[in-house]
Amino acid sequence: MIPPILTNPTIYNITQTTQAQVAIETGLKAIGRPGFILLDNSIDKNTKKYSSMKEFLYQLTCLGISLGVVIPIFKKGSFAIARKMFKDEAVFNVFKKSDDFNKFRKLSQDEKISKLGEINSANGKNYKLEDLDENLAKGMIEITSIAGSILGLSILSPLISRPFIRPVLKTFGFGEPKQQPSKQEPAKVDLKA
Amino acid sequence: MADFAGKIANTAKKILVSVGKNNKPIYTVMAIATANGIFKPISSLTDKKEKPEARKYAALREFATECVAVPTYWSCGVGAAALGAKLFKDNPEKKAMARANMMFLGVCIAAFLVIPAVCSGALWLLDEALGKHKSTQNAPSKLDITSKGPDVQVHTDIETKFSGNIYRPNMNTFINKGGLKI
Repeated sequence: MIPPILTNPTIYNITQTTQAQVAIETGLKAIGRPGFILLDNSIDKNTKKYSSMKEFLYQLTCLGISLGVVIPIFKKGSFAIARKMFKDEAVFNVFKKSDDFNKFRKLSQDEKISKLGEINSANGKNYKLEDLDENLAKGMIEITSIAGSILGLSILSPLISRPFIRPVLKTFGFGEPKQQPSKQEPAKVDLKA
Repeated sequence: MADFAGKIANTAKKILVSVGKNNKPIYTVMAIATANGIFKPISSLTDKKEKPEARKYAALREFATECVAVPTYWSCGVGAAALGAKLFKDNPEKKAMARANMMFLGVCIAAFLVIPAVCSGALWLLDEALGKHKSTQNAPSKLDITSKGPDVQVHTDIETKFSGNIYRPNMNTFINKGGLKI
């Protein structure tokens, strides 16, 4: 029997959103990567604990920076950029903010028509539902979210986490593992024997 | 010039519409992994608190991790999507949805299990190639001069045996003992 989750429309809607994709993927990384470090038997116990905690905190930082700061800023700016790029596109003239468009997209067909009528009467325009390229607007939101994720996860997170993680680890009692003395040092000769 | 700008705008529009229709999870994760493979090693190399050798090693490890991640995300995502389409081949309505959901599931499995597992193996091989394991395995053990070694038999009584009528000169005569030699 095929599980119904595979054709669940709610899951489909979640998987189509960049923000959800980044949140779930980073959350899984935050569990999976430290887990595999802990399973590695070739590392000593203290180093394992320290490395896994460091990785966990790093992924949490990534998640916080991307979802809390970068993606929302990029999302807000997406329609401002689109309006400059595609001056004649009705969808970017009707909706000034991406949040307004997202709310509109979730409406039923009849509700969309009545909402568009309200917007037209407020702006003195006469756009029809067919004039609005919803895929273009959604694509713009998703592409700017991907760009925001890249900025947050790849560029900002390593820079921000570097001075932040070590003090946090120390606070929680995870001191940096001391390096064992090198085994290639000259051996001490037991003169007592 | 205006024509060139128009072409770019048209191409950008096509890409945006395509992403708007179907925002495949592999686009996001592969883009992030590629960017991580470029910027994270650069970030590690510019960390002035670390020793130069440690910086280079960290950068190499991060680059190797993302080199593993990009094809893994793609193969897991596309493979799972193909499986989803196969499961619902008789139902075109559900087929697209199953394809998208399964692709996301594939990406999740890649992020949670496959990439950390493959990376553990690949990074072990990298360490092996760089000789990181050698320092522990082939390190000389502590010099042990306290334990007893095997007894060595030393002959102190040298017996002179009769060996027939053979002239054997006394070699002590020729040993340099200093002084005048005759």
